[in-house]
Amino acid sequence: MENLTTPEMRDFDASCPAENWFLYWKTSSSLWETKLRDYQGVSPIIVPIFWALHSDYQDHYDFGHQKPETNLRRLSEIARSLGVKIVFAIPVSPAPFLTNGGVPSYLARQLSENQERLAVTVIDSVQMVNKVYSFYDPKVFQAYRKFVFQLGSYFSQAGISEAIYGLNCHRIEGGHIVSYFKDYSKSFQDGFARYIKQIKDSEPEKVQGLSHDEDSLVELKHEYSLLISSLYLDAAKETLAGNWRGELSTCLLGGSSVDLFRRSFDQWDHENDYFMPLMKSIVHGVYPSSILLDSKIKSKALGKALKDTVNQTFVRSLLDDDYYSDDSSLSYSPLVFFELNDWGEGHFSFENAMQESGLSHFFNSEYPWSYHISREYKQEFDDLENRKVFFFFGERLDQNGIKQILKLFMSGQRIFLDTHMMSDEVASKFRYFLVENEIKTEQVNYISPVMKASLGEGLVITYDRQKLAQTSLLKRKGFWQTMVSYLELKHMQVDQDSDVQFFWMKRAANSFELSYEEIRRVHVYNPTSYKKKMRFKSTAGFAFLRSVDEKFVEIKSTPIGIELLMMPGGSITIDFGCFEP
Amino acid sequence: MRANEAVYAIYRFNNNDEFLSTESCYHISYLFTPQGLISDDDIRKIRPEHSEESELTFHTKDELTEFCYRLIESLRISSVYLLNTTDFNIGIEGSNDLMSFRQIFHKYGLKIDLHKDSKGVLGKFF
Repeated sequence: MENLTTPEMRDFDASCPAENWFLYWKTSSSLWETKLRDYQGVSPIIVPIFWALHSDYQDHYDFGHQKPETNLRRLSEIARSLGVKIVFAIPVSPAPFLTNGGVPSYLARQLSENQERLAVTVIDSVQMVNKVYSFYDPKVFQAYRKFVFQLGSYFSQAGISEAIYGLNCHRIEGGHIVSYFKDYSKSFQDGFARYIKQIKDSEPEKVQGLSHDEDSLVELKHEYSLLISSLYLDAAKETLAGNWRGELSTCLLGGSSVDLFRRSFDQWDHENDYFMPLMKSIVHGVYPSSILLDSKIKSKALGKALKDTVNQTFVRSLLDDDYYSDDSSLSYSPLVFFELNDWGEGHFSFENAMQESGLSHFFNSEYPWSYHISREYKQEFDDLENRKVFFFFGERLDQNGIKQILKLFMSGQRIFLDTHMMSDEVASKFRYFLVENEIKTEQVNYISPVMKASLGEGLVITYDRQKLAQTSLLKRKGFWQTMVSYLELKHMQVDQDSDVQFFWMKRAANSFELSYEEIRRVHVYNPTSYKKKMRFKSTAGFAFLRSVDEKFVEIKSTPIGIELLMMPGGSITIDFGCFEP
Repeated sequence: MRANEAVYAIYRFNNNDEFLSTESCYHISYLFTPQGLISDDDIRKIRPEHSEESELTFHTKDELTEFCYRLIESLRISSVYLLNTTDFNIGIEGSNDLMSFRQIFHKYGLKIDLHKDSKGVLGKFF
């Protein structure tokens, strides 16, 4: 009785549901060649490996012996013959775009649960409900290890030379990027109990500290989770060593628990809701994927935003392949003013640190999405010329960490250092360095004790986020406005109606643009059902160059700058030349 | 919010934890209508002390049910479907598409509504 209406034709290809993803099992193997030949997106194409497809039942593996759709060698040969670059991705966490999260049905016993103990479930691009099963079940791990061993042998025997990545799938839950590996189900609890029992003998001090201490318990659970997660990653890495290129973290738009409810009601589901997850993934350096979203919701502004952001440069930078390194690239990459770095081990929430200090609010209002979060700090000297502003958190630093920060400072970089919970050892090392090198410092009490040390172009400003957290959001914003205005960052002033989304990118000037230092590109979208306005105020050092890809937008020049009138679903891209005024 | 619209509430029961000195309570994890999450402002109409950070917890099932009745009155909606996470998880096991997913609340949830002849929330209790 449910389907009396005419079936709706699906206007998208299930085998290529999003960006550069190719799901080989969603089409007949006889069509692989046509599909790959017709593909026109960014390169390389990511081909996730569907464990359950290759292993219907226990200890049975099929790589083209029975089902032609499992013949990965053929897929690899077709891609090579067409000159199409593909890379494989073996899930090292539940992958919710796969049935049962990728776990073969004979192993799908315990549903994975989120923090609220709700079964982790998603709605996929064809509106099917995909349940995610726990990776903490020991039987699942044993079977996974056997499978990746078989896969590794097959790759080497079949001469498959394509790169393979470990695919770690994430979602945005309550504003935080959370791995689908994170689980609160009975399987996790049982495993954690076994872990506690084990470390009671080997590291009793860890367990003693647990009594009445929720933070330590959370930390230990996180440690256990990382341990199990690394077992999966290592199993895949060892058996696929010849092709292994590392871990690829992806964030699935529409994959959170709230998204499950949102996407089950047409009145609630709106493309505007996916902009924040998309941009957040990018600033966190996590590969965003719209693989769970249907084509309808991607047909307007969101679809354009996905094309604009998940572009060739972005894909190449994340896949970290030497083949792709191109320092003199003239393609656009995200504009980053602020680089937030972590140094320590274990869990650290950038979100909380940014909320407490008021940085989140400040960035959102003044420099939306123009920052980057780096979990593992790597000093890259090429980047140093970009004059980014670095943020470090004292509580996450050790002796080596502070040493690296001081190196950055000596090389003329600008650094903000949060002294909250910084160890005495690290604090004294920092103080001794300043005294020994007779570095000029100034101290002031402005909401938080602030200390400024400068040497040539190098600058370190210290603050205590705990002190900032005790004041109003407005005061915190004022604090950062004052601090950042001191750095004289070159950025255009914009003013936009609510829900207008925009994202800045930049590239080096080419030989025809020598009067400019760099080219700034802003992508603007109106994902709402209302007319919206946006204004770019005339700013010294910026010249309007061109507008491209105008869709349902009126652009006009006014005495105070450029004004956009955007119709519902409208989008536009504008280039500005950036020069020394 | 529309008068014929329902609110969906998913709650879980937290056992008391002597280890962490927490009391047992009912906790609403998700509260929404087909149009979106119920806003903190709407909740404050019933629980003035509610803030963005605070959790929706109740000591007894009666308190939780009373909250639902007050929600119906305050938001002028038709009903509340109350479902605990355990039942939701049972329902989700048998659900494969959107249609069966939507049925979970109707099939496993407790429907709370004010009948037309009802005299309001107090009438339900006295």
